[in-house]
Amino acid sequence: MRVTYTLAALGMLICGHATAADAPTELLMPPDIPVTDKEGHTEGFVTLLQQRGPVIISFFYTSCESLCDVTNGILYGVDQIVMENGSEPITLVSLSIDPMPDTPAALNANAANFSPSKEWLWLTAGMRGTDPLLDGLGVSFDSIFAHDPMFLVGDFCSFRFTRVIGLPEPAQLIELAREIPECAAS
Amino acid sequence: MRCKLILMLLIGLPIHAETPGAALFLRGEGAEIAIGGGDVRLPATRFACAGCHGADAKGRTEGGTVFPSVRWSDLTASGAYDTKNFSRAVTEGVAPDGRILAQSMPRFRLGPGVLAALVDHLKTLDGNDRAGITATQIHVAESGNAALDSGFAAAIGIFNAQGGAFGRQIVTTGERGALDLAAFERDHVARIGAACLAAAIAAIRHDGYESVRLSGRVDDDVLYRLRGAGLLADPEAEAVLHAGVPDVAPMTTGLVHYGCIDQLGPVATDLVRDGNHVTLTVPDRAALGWAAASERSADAMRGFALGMLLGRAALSAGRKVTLAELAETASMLPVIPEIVRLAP
Repeated sequence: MRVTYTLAALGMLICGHATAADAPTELLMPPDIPVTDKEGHTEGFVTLLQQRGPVIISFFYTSCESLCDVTNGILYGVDQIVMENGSEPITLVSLSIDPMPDTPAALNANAANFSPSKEWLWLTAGMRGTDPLLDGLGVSFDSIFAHDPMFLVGDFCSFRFTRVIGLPEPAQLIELAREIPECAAS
Repeated sequence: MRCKLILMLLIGLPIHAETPGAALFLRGEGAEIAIGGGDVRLPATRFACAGCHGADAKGRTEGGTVFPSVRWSDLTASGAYDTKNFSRAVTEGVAPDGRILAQSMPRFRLGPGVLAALVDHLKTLDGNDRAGITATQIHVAESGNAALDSGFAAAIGIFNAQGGAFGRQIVTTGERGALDLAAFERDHVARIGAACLAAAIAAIRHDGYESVRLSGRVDDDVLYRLRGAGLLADPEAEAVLHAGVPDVAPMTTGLVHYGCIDQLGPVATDLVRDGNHVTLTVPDRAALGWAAASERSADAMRGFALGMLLGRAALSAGRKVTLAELAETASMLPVIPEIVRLAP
């Protein structure tokens, strides 16, 4: 059954009370900026994710050892729960917001702390691509040190995403991802 | 980054056997965190208390998130916390008043002995505020690398001659509790180098080149940066990027050389004399002036840059500062290299 979402200017803070059916969505059409993963492979961001179904995107930088590790810890929870349940995979993306030090090698070293499955991508858009990609995802902040934790849950078939500002439980993100309708084009 | 700063301070602190409480607080050792209501566990090594609350436990603000002070004196000031309800806060995320703590506070799984040691560590932090910093001095322990130390000494000499920061001068000392220069170098050398390299690559692009010859044994990171800048590696290119492990292969004259001063600086004079153009990226222009006075090694150049960085941090951190705050300020200061052009 197709679930219809209403557009919203801002995201909602999921604090354990709202359900997936209540979550507003927004249309996001970022440019197909080349992104490089922790193994050094480069592909367009949208092209890379378009065939992968539901996606949960979060933002971090490798030298951050406070909230970034909490958000990656939440993604770790999603990764582990989905694997243990043997259910349909959900693609996870940790996208760097600090491209200068966050080379593929740095991403790889940071990712190793979280034993990611193959469904969990660690990406950088590089010095040229990070700002336009973040802009296309509706993410902006004055300084990397002041960025608030945020997740985008959606897919690049409908290009509709729920913006979660805060620190949800892994189960809440999984619930949002499971409500995304199957891509009609696939 | 912050863990390295924490390690740097730990090395500089009075030498006692490190307690399990300190290991947990500073590096997340000896515990796990529970995610998703406890169904999923992860080693706490990426969730050290100091990462959010600061190595001095005085608390921090990050974006819209406030990490409060967890010094024992502050936790117990209003009678809110004791050992029992502190345990409940750390393991269950429930404050003494029954409030559920924010999800930004991990829920730890740890043994009672480790928890008791953590409390003891928080109690010790109350007395450590002034370690390494007096009313008139900021203490730094030399690295033991003579060239690095000489460069550092030259930089802080300039800083001190200009008045220091808030009545304090940076001095090197053998006393315990000082900021460890070796660890400070380890913490910053990578990002200074990365900023320098990025500036050199940007200069190559700015000058209109689309391909570059590589001088030195470079790793994948350098090649990644070149691709990101739209530059092709070409052994016949006119522009030469000096990066990675230097090699001493002879070069054709009439080329245009780019690189960070610590790699390209030692050969810059010879290259210019041989008819080459040289573009140096310098983390601090004052370092160039100091280096020009007499030949300086790469280590000395680096020491100088570190001294200037620490001086900037001392000016930015304010009057009431701990070593932890000083180190954190230094880590947040941008490294903005300058471009110096040398022509034959």
